[in-house]
Amino acid sequence: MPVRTLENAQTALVEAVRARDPSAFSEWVQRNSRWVRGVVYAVLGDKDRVDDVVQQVWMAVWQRIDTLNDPQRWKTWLYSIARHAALDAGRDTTRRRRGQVSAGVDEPPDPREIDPARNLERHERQERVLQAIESLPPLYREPFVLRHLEGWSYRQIADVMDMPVDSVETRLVRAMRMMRQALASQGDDST
Amino acid sequence: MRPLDEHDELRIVREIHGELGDEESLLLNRDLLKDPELRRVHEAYAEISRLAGESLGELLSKPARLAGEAGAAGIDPCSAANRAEARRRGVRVSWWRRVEQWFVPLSAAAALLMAVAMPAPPGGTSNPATGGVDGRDGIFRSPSAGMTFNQPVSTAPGHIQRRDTQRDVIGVIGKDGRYYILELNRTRAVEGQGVGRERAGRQDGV
Repeated sequence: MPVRTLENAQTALVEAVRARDPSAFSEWVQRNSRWVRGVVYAVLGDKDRVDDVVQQVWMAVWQRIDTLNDPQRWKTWLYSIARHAALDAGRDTTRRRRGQVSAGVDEPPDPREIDPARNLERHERQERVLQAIESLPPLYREPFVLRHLEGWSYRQIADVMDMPVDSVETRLVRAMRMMRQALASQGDDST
Repeated sequence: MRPLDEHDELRIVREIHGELGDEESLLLNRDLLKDPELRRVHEAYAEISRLAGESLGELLSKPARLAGEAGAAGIDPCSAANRAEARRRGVRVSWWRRVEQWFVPLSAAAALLMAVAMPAPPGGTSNPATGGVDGRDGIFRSPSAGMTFNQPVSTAPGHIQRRDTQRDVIGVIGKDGRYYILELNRTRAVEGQGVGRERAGRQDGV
């Protein structure tokens, strides 16, 4: 389906959400949950807190949907709410971390995975990549996550982040360079 | 071989992300064939891009399992399972929220209890045969007529047959200004003294 048609369908959905239709809201959440999680993760740089903040984001969206004046610009509006919720949560995290050390407990690998050695290796590699992503400055992490999670075009990223396409390009190149350096310092020979 | 600059990196990254035009792609591919350093960077960035997509996809594509998202998906966020999950995750559920769900059944039970335990208010038709009101024999007794100032408001007969009234005999002033004797209905009838004279006097301020 063409991107424009998808966008129009979402705009119609947004209109229904503005009319306080719970089922429309449910569908809207399902459609946009992934990239909203991406924004929160990109801003926070902390995967352990993504779930909690995303919950706050959707609650805020439901409460503030009346403030969305132009339904055509719903994506920028939603991005803004997600970003600010993550920024607020980030400030809380920073304050909390001053007084305590993170337990650093990772979730165990999925038990359904059948090749433990291979999956352990994959899991470790993914962890290294996520660590490298989290080590990026938020300025570069946001477009990097949006690009690689959702495959958004530079234009789409520029639109939601309200910046020129050139800036997105520059940030992505620098993010890529930093990622390479971070992974090299972790001893990842694949990069 | 020339040193790699930011422009080369930009071309590589744009090519990996599918943002390079056809003509630029051709030029880049030609340079990649000639320049091993450029090729090495291209391979590294392509691998980073692939790994990042894979890692982020696995991390952030979990099914909706939060109260907010689940609620939006039509799942009851206050279900026992979700409350247990919330406790496990260290989320505090407010006392008010927990009590809230018991309001309706408790209110219904309280209303039922009051309907059973509380007598109906006075003011119904007097039953001359029993001295009661609305057939509530022995519970409500209307005052006799002809009350004058400084006389007892209620003039129940001196000796009446009434039910076991060893306790819970109370007097109230009705909306009509009269004083009523209320007795709780007991299971056995006893011969007893009428009540209310002295009380009535006090109530009238005498």
